[in-house]
Amino acid sequence: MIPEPIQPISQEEAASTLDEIDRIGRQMRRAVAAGCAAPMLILWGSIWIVGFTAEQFFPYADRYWLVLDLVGLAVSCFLGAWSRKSPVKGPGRGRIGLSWLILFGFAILWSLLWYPTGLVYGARWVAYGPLLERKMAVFWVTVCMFAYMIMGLWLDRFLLWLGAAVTVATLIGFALAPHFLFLWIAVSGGGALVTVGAVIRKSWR
Amino acid sequence: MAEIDRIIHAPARLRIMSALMALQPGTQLDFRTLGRTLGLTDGNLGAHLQTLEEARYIKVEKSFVERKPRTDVAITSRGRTRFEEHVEALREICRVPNSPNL
Repeated sequence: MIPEPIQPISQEEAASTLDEIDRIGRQMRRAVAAGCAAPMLILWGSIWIVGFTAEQFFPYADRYWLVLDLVGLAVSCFLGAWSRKSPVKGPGRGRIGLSWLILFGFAILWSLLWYPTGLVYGARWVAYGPLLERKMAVFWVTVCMFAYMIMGLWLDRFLLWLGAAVTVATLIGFALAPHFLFLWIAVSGGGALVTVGAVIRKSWR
Repeated sequence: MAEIDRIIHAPARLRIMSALMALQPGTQLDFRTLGRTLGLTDGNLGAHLQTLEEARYIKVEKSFVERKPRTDVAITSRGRTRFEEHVEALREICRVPNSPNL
């Protein structure tokens, strides 16, 4: 096919073409993100709602968090395998998954270093009180939201704002409502992830 | 000085290249998703992809996934460079209205 001759381009046409390029780039990044990010957001948002709500009302948080995290990881691996049929193939997808694994490894390492694992639950409670659990919860939420903010710089600013908003909400809860912190995170953090996942799934495709 | 690329300049091809440029280098995109996202018919998309492939701006790969045919499209490094030059030429027009970039 022989390319058509080009008519002179005005300043307005050039500007609108640049806007169109930006719009399509954003639309494409969103369409790709909708396929992989939306199910992950809904999954981990649901896990946060269940886990933090349970932590608010029942003791022995570390035990059921272990179960919930294992379930989350198993379902995430399944979603990753399922997404091989996704419209996008390339090195980027694997790198995002690997980045999350490295981040989790880093967070688990510091959790183990900080957490007094040598004490039984009752003794730990007497020695440190509920503050330790609250700090650990804030640590995990802010680490995960830090990752969302980094992803937001690459994929879509929407994720950047989500990460920043949940981080701020969590810190506000930690400072102003410490006795209801877990419930606060379940609603503000888990609820936000599920809602945003649903919105992405519906409107970004 | 950057120049407007005659092949990329056509509206449909500009949109195809913009979409592929939004992905990370080395990433392939399914033909159907590309067409659906850009609102192009299969025939229209196929014709423009052929032009871009002949110019070596994109690479098209055909395969079978679970016995179903699948076509993946990726931008080449040459295509990426030409697109960046095209965008730079558009920016120059915005900065200097009567720039001789055609």
